[in-house]
This record gives sequence, C-alpha cells and structure tokens, in this order.
Amino acid sequence: MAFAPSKGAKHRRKDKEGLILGSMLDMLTVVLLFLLKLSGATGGMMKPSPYVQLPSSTQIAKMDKSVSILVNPEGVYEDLEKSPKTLASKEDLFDPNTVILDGLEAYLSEKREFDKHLGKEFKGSITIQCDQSIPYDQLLKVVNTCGQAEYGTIDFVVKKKAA
Amino acid sequence: MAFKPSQKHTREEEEADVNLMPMMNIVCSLIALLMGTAQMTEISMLEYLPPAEAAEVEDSGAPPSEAPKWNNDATIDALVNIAATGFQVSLFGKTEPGPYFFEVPILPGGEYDFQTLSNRLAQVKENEIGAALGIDSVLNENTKRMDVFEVFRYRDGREISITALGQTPFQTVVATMDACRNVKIDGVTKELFPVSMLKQFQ
Repeated sequence: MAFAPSKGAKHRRKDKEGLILGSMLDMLTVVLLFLLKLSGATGGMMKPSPYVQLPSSTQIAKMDKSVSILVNPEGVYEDLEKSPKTLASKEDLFDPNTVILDGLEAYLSEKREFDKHLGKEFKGSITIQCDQSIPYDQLLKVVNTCGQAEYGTIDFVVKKKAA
Repeated sequence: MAFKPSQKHTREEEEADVNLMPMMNIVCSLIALLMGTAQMTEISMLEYLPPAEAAEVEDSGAPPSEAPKWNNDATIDALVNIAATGFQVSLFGKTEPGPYFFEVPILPGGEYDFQTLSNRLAQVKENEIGAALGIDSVLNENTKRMDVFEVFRYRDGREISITALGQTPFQTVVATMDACRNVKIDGVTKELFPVSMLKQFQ
C-alpha cells in the first residue's frame, strides 16, 4: 500500500534564498563615483594621443585646451584621433636648411584668423604633444614656427611622475 | 454553526521588495562606459615661454611711465648646455672653467646626473642670486589672474636658458627643465629657475 503524500511537505513554506543586491549596489555606486571623479574636472579635457610617446615630468599644471598639435618622428600633425592632417613632413623636420615649417605656420595662421573671424580673443597659446624621442633640433623648428605664427605660450603635454 | 476562519488571517503577506535589477544594469553600464573613456595615464602641462615672450612678461611688471620698482637691472644669464659629456653650466656668459662655468659630468652608466645639476644650481641660487628682494605680480593674459613671483637682485633670477646638441631627445630636455625648476632638500622643495627657455646650441 502506497503512503499518502505528506501534507506537511506540500504546505511547507519555501523561503527564497536570493542574492542580497543592496550591498552590491552600494559597492557599485562607490566605484561609479570614483570613476566620475577620475574622468571629470580638468583631467578629462585632453587624452594623450596614441601617435606619440609622451615624456615624463614632475611638473604639475592644469590642462587647458587650446590649439593642439602632435609631433612624432613621422612629422607634425593636427591633434585628431582619426586621419589627422599632416602639417609638416618627416623630410621637413630632418632638412637642416629648414628653420620654419611652412605647413605648420600656415595652419596656425589659419586657426588664428578663424578665431578672429568668430570674435574669439586670441590668446596665442598652443599645446604640443611631442614624442619623447624627438631630437632637440627638430623641437626647436616647431617652437620657432609657433613663435613666428604669434603663438607665444607653448604648453608641452607630459606624463606626470612622482617628484 | 461555527463561522469559517477569515481568509484575511490565513493569507500570506507578500513582501514588496524594490526591484534593484534595472538600477544595477544602469550602474554597471555606466561603470563600463567610464572605464572605457577614463585615462589611466595622468597627464600634465609643461609651460614654456619662448625668449621673446619671457622678456615681454618681465618688462610688463614696470610700466615705462613709472620709476622702476626694483633696482635690479643686472642679469646673471644662467645657461645649461646639454653636451655629450654632461651638463655645462654658464653664468654671466662665461665659458672658461671657474666659479661661473662648471661641468656636471655624466654618470659612469652614461646617464645624465640630474640630481647633481639641481644641487649645483641650488648653490648658485643661494650664493650668487641670494634671497628674494620682494614679491611682485603681473597680470597673466591667458588666465586673467595675477601671477605672483619673487624678485631677485638679478632681473633674470628666475630664468635659465637651455641649449642642447641637435640629437638630444626631448625626454632629456624635459628632465633637464625639471632639474632646473626645483630641488628637494631634506624633504623640502625649493624653487630654482622655474622659467626655462630653449635656445640654439652655440
């Protein structure tokens, strides 16, 4: 004779054993706040270009977005992530007779005139992301060209290192 | 006849939990987005004023109509040359070895000795330039704020020129600028020559 099914088992209350999501949400909120702090304020205004290997420095200065160019061993470029315009070729940088880079000067003059056309105040400041391997004579050509185009305040982008 | 027990007493009370899953999804998506855009390398700016601009900033402190505020017309003309054998430091335009022209040779491993350069420049600052005469300020056209700086008995007491061989990499130039800017002695950072100018190697 078969036993009748237990009535206790039938009516036993099944407790739910779910995940405690409250504490996990708290943790995620903290991580979120941390990341917001990291990407906010001044640091997020400029990202290091993937086309240059920046030098490291102990200098601590705030980032300020202005006209920005890239200098790497292949030439001088507009600071754009996709298809940046070449402002000076590798040959121009290596040519010992070249003192002023014409393409860069034309670009900077164009930027200056465009700002004036928009009614913006011309501050004459430029940001350069220069590769750490760039030789000094090539760097001077870029700096001299910026000075020639009336960009008097030059900011080099560097990786921050401990003093 | 007895009444049947009320169903209200036997009905299990359902717990009304807040559904956290949509919120969790949003937060997780935001974290993924922020981690993707976050820059893991902290970057900074190294300000450089070309020689002409530096002179302009210096002159703008005293309008021509007014009597000069500081009697410091003399210049020290501090210069660091990054040579193949090490640093050559020149003061007052001297090029013969002596108190105003000295060398900081490279280390046995072939690296430049930035720490010794900083220490020697700290001696120059202390012995030749001396303590600040006072504090002056000038309006920074870019930030629209007053830049406050110390005034020394030499007009160019905060400036140093840097020259290098043509093939010197930019990283070495930046490290030299850092070494010239300040020095850490006994845990205290002391300002040396915060304004550096890049010049052509002579």
